[in-house]
Amino acid sequence: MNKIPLLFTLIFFVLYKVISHYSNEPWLSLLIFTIPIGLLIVNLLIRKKLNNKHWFLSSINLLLERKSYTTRSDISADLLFYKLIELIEHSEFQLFDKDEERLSILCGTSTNFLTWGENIYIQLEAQNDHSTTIEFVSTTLFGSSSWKRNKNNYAAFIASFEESLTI
Amino acid sequence: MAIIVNLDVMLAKRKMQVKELSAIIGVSVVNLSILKQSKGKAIRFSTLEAICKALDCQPGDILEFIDDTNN
Repeated sequence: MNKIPLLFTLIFFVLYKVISHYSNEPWLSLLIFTIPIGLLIVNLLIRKKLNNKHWFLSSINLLLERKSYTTRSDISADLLFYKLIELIEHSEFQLFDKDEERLSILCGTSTNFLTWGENIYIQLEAQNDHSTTIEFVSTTLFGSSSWKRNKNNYAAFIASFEESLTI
Repeated sequence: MAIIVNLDVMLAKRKMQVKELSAIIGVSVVNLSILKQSKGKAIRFSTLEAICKALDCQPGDILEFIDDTNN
């Protein structure tokens, strides 16, 4: 597990406590809260575009937790792309964006009482033996821990995919 | 692969497009394409029945077993 996001959040919290304790300026401690809330709002606003993939997957974005998985399929990349689009449309995930040329898909889970939702980036890569590599990255929109939701997203995705191959 | 799906052969015999078959039996073009390439994991009896009905053929015309253990 990558401990940097969790460490970053802890430092943030300690910083907030220290400033609140020693400073008489309430705006200063409020400012500490404004930064993560601002980040959350930005993330929610830009989450549905594939163009912003680098922002969500960047290691600089320390407040997010990401889980990456790679698997392989015998189905050709072009056909698999449409298969996954169809699968997402009939699953618990929401399709946000797609790029047919780059074989990239962006889907995610919706916001509810437990989570701000997660973004899921799927990248297909055609291999020489006509098989396809599927790279699956699930990332939180806010929070250094996904509470296993990233892992569960992958498990749900693979289960749906395997099930959908029974035609 | 031991089981070969000859859906493309039957479609050609019946001069039918995958899209047409998809509309008749209610299975998506993508799934029929996967089936045609023998990349599916399994086939439901209901799907096989619908295909046989639409193409006026027998399951044996669609599925073929090839013993490739010696290769």
